[in-house]
Amino acid sequence: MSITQKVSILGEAGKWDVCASSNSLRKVKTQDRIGNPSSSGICHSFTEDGRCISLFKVLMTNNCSFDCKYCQNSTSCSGPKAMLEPEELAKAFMGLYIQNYVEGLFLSSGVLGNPDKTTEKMLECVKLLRSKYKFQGYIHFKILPGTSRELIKQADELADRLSINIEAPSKSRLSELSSVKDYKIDILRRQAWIKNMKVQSGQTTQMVVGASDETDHEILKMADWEYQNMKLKRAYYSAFTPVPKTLLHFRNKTPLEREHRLYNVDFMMRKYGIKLKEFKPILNEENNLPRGDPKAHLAKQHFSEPVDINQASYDELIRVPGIGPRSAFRLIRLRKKSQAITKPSQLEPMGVVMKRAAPFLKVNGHIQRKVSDFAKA
Amino acid sequence: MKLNESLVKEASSASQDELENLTTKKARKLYEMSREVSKEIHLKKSFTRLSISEYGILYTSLEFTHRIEHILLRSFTSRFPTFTIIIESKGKRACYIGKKGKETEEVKAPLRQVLKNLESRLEKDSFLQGLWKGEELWENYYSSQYIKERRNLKLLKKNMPKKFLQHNSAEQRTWKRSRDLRDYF
Repeated sequence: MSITQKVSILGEAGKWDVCASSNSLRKVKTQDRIGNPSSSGICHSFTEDGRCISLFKVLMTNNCSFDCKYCQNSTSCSGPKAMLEPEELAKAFMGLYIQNYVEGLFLSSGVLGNPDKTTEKMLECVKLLRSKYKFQGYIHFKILPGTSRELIKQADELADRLSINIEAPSKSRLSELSSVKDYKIDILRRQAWIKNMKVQSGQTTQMVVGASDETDHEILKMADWEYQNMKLKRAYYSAFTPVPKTLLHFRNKTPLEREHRLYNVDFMMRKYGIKLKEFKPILNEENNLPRGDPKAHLAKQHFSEPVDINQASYDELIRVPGIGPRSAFRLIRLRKKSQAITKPSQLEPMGVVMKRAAPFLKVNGHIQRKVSDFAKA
Repeated sequence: MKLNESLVKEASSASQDELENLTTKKARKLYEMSREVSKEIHLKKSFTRLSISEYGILYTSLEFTHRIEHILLRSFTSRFPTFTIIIESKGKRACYIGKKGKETEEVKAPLRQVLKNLESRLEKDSFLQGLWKGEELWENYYSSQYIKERRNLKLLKKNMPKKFLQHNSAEQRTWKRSRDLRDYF
């Protein structure tokens, strides 16, 4: 099998991992090198689904002895199988990197036999890149469930970011999807080890949304727990898509809007500092987020009347839909210089999306009128 | 946006407070101008493909809207310090040659000629011999990453400007090829 065919099969098998970040704060001193980690995300291309391609995301092999019901690489699935040798993968990656097609490597794998044996092969490839090819760019290394501590330590020294996918929000939910993985021992224990390591860009994880009957609250609660206890940099959510020949091929696909809403709330928890309990009142009876923008729902819950743009605190401003941390910061900075916002048209240049923010704002004593106001009159 | 030289001149004497107050017309205009330039730098860093010469030279030919040739060259030389980088500016009909630790050279000559001149002074780079070069692997990899069930051309168009799609033939071919009649029903 040619290298292009292998990359095609193993790229296809690895595309479900959504992490595309290539941020790293690692400083490189030597000049005898190829590549450097960048501090801001660069996308080198976009696929037809609109997702960014910044990393060379492939599996070492798609042969897997695990039986995850949603996964196209599981034991129950037949289909073309391939395996890349470390040298092959390194050469292919370096060619793409030097031509500026990709920003870094995302290396994962199916579990061939036992996790340690597969991880050793993955490490061999990363060592080749770092020593023989003098590659100093970004590497995201996927830890396989059940990998030994010694090998994780080695990965920690070589990679910029480590990740292990928890896939489901709890032990019982994971047992619905896989009979082999032990949630606490194979996954959470490994995350706890990584937490105490020095890995530059921290660790991330991913959950499949809608593969079992989990609720949004369960997912967000787990993500919140991970942020608090595992020093997680980011949780990724992947809407379940039924893959032919898998045991869950009959299940309906999860609407992308659900994934989008989870990202919205996740972002507000991480970047705005809004606590998970604040979202509880907006959840519906099934403990899922309601349709529409979670921030708008939260704002309706939070504000009983429009807030004065010149008096609202930072915490209040970032709760207004259409105002993010940057525009809230600009508004506060302006206020500190004793300059006031006197008309709504001044807000757009500050980065405020007026279409969404207007119903929640009071500018110079004026508020946006609603249709219902005229009906009352 | 056309570069407003007088506004830039004015900006150099303006205070930090004046520049940060985006409610004023002047600050807004300057902010938009700086955004335009940084956007071009970002897009060029992302979508520029470098060709590899066997003599350890990485080169490309680009069209620039703003004067960012030096910034782009600096970014590539810091990424690939062991290689010589050549960026040809089509509009200026000039080549910018850079290598880490050396000053940027501007040569008013076409890329092919500059490349030939440089190669005659260098020896073949054995490191590059075994590496994959060409578009085939990229094209295969690019096609493999698409998830059909998540098709969202609107998002693709938003993220990837058409003019960059023209330069990246692999994406363009795959994008066009993967559309068939079934997609419209």
